[in-house]
Amino acid sequence: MDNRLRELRAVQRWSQAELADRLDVSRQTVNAIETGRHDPSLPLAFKIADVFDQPIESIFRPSTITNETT
Amino acid sequence: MSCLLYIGRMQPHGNLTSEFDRRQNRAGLRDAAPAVIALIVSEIIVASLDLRADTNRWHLAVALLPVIPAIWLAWAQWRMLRRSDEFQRTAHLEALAIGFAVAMLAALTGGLLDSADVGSTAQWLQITFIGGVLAWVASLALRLRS
Repeated sequence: MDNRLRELRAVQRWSQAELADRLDVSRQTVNAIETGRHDPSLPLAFKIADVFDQPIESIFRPSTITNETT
Repeated sequence: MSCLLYIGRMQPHGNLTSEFDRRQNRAGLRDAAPAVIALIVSEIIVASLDLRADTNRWHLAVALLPVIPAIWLAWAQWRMLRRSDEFQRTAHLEALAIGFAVAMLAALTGGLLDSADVGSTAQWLQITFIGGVLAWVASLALRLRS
């Protein structure tokens, strides 16, 4: 699954640790999501959407959709 | 050896850790540190006694003394797993599975070699334990790298 987490975090000028604080997870988890090593659970994905005040589908999208469009 | 399990949790504070990390590190240290100290002390006590020569009724109890802090450490590990977030929990369980597989493979290989009179049972037990723990710690460090 692809995501725009790094991009959205950069816009807010938050460090990974600051975002992790807002999500109540470890910094390793934020890093793993950003680098595509971990797909978040649905509750965490909703929490991320809430933190950035964006719809969930604008942050996460299946990799296959990206491949088809590129 | 048991201290290695907590190396992955020790990170510099500041911008590299979130409040979640710091909370987890504090709780992990509080749970594990006394168990690690108790394990080291009990190992020293057992090692300083000549248990092979001593055959009184306390012989077995003294020989098994380090098992108590080892159980305590396993409990601390369980609590750490329960406190982990979803990514860490997956990483911990994967690392445990790899460590277990390596230990099983080493036990099987050691048993076969022991039956062929290569090495001793005690040596193979040590290799199995160390191999399992190293595989566990290495795979955890690799998975949690960032």
